Amino acid sequence: MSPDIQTGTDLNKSIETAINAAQQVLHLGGSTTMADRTFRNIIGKVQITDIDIMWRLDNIVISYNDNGVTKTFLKSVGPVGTSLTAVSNVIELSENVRDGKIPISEVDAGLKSLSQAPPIHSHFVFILVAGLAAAFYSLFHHGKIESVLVVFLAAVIGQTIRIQLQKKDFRDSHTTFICGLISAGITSVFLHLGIGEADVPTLIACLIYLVPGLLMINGFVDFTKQRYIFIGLQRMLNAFFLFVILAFVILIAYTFIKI
Amino acid sequence: MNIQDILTIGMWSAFFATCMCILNSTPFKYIIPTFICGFTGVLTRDFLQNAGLSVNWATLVAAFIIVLLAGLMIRSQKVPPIVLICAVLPQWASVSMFSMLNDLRKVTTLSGDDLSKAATDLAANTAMVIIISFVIAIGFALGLAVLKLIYREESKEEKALGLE
Repeated sequence: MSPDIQTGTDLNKSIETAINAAQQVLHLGGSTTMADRTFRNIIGKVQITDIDIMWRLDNIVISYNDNGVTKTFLKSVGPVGTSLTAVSNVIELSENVRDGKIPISEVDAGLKSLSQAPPIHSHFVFILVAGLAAAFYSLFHHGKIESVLVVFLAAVIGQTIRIQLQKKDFRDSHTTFICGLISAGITSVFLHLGIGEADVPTLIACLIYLVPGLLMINGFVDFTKQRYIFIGLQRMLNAFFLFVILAFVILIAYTFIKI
Repeated sequence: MNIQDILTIGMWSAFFATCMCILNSTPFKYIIPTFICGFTGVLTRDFLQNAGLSVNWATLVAAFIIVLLAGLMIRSQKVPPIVLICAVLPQWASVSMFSMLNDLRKVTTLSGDDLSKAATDLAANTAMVIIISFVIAIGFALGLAVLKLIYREESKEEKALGLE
């Protein structure tokens, strides 16, 4: 038994800490494998058997045996964001616990400081990168310079509004719909006026920053691992819903520019 | 396609992959691998297509190379999915995917020859989306299997943690 774990209360506290770390990984957009690894890195220090974990996108449920008594923890995941750098830091923290570099008792403080850390990039960088992603997508589909400029502008405006909506805690689906409509609308107006090429890649390019890529990837990764099928399905359905919203926005644009 | 075209498209694709990577707040250490994998993936696909291979086989090999390269650069079998997906994103049938949606709209409104054409396009685009997604998945699975073989020791650690 680890020197940290002396009593049943300590055991409960350690498990709670490990759940907090795993919850943080899911909350920040990490895959379930990452969350599970984080949990097991921390819990590896505790001699515990008969542990069962149910991973869901809304809650994590853990049941374990504590001196013949089955105990259950339920932890809400909360809204899922995207910060893979923060995920990487949480995993690193858990690996430090596994390697004995820091005691479990310091993990909660570490998690708190990580959650309060500023985002890896400024808003300006995210806006610029959204525009550039749209521009490069158009370029590798042989887009002409007018199309490239149009999609850059549409994506930059859309991403700026997206950041504002995210600050106001708008739901993902609402944000995707509003920003998609704005970006596709701007592009359609330019294409309608004859500026740029009225083709499918141009319309996709202006919305590419909204594609729920991470959600889809994590869903697929979870789904292919037999033990995370349920949470994988939840993520994939969530991504599919956002795709349907984007498809709806694109259909409106198609009708407007008559492709 | 001549070599200059292939290199240019490869470069734009790699920049696009990198932008998508940054947009997802990926750690800095994975940005360069994403760029290199994105570039190599498109290069592999286009060179193989130029050599006479079909788009499906070329994409499968490209997906395999992306995983292998990412694993060798990161020196781990635990290649972050975001690197793989951002690198392979330029090869995904995104245009077919959204064209398919447009074709769906068209088949509900057109008639006669236009309807036949739209229906054929719909079938072709649907097949393209399914097959390309499928070959990418196979390429990834093959690549990950080879990485597991290369980094056997890591697999043992995963097993010890109860994650295998």
